[in-house]
Amino acid sequence: MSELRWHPFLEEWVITATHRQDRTFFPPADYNPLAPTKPGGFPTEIPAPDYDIVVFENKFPSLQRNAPEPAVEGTELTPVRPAVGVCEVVVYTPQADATLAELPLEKIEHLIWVWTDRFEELGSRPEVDYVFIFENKGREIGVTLSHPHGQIYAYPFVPPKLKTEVEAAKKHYDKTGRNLYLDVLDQELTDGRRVVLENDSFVATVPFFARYPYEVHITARGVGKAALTDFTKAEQHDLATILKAILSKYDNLFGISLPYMMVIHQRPTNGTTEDYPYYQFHIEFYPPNRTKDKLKYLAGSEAGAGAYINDTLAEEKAAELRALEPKG
Amino acid sequence: MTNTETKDAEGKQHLADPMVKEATVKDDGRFLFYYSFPEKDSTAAVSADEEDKNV
Repeated sequence: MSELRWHPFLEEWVITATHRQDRTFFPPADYNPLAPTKPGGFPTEIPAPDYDIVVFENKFPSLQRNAPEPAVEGTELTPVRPAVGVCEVVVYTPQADATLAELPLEKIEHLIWVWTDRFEELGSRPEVDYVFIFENKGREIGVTLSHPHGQIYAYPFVPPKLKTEVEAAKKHYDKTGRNLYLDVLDQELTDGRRVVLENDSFVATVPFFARYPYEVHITARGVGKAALTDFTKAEQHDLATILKAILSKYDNLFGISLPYMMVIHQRPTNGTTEDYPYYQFHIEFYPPNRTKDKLKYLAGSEAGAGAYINDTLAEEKAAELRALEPKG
Repeated sequence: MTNTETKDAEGKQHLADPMVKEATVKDDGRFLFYYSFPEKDSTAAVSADEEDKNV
């Protein structure tokens, strides 16, 4: 059973997907569904005996190309609609015990090419308004398969957080004629205290308004960079470089493979980058750790009121990350 | 990178050099894409340069 139910108080869609209750939960190594299928072995999701990078439609999708009609009737106040869209799994490598941070730079660059192709292909579908690329890493985040992989949700609407970002950026653009993200980036570069790393094409910061202790944003420099498809080969290389460096710093922070949520924020796909001159490509990381063995939970204030409380200072956490290998 | 794609005899899509995408359909109808990244053929590049000189 799968449908979109309207939340009239928050004015947002909630995806109901009851079949996801049955999804695979930490299978034994011999039954890893993201491994290649070896001759005579357990048939995994990937029939080939080897691969570089594989993308396939999720077996337990929240959104479906041929979504069923809603199982419940909506009302004027609480409408329902089919959960149309696409949910894909992106498998980074056949190596089950690797992490994105550990992959060679060239492999991360290839992954960026694949993300770009998926953004372009899924974004061209008329029913898709937003292509959301993300990775959940670690049991602490609720991951059910440890094999290195990410996901892509192609939504039939612009999700609430992205809608808020786009609207805030447009408001600033209408008022000043300038890109909000680049103005904030200028402010961060001038101040310098929250900058973790930078290269010719991207800047990584613990933002002034960080909500998690080790939250990092990687933001594209320059105008006209609102989506993966806007990058040159050199910029893709720079993105791979800064991505690997930040992930390596994360793993050096407490000497553990740090769990995180990595989310890629791009313009909606119901237009082109020319339609969104006020928006800027960026990647956000939310590691849940406050310390090596203490996690930040989204509790009453965050979940119930939407008001985040960060027990740390962005300036101090940025300095901590800056000092770690690989150096900025 | 944009999709300046071509298809070879096996139906594999050659996207922006050097990425190749092979689309398949699983038994249950779900799409699966194999992305591969063949090494660049430096000999071919030299040949192309040579051809340019000959034009």
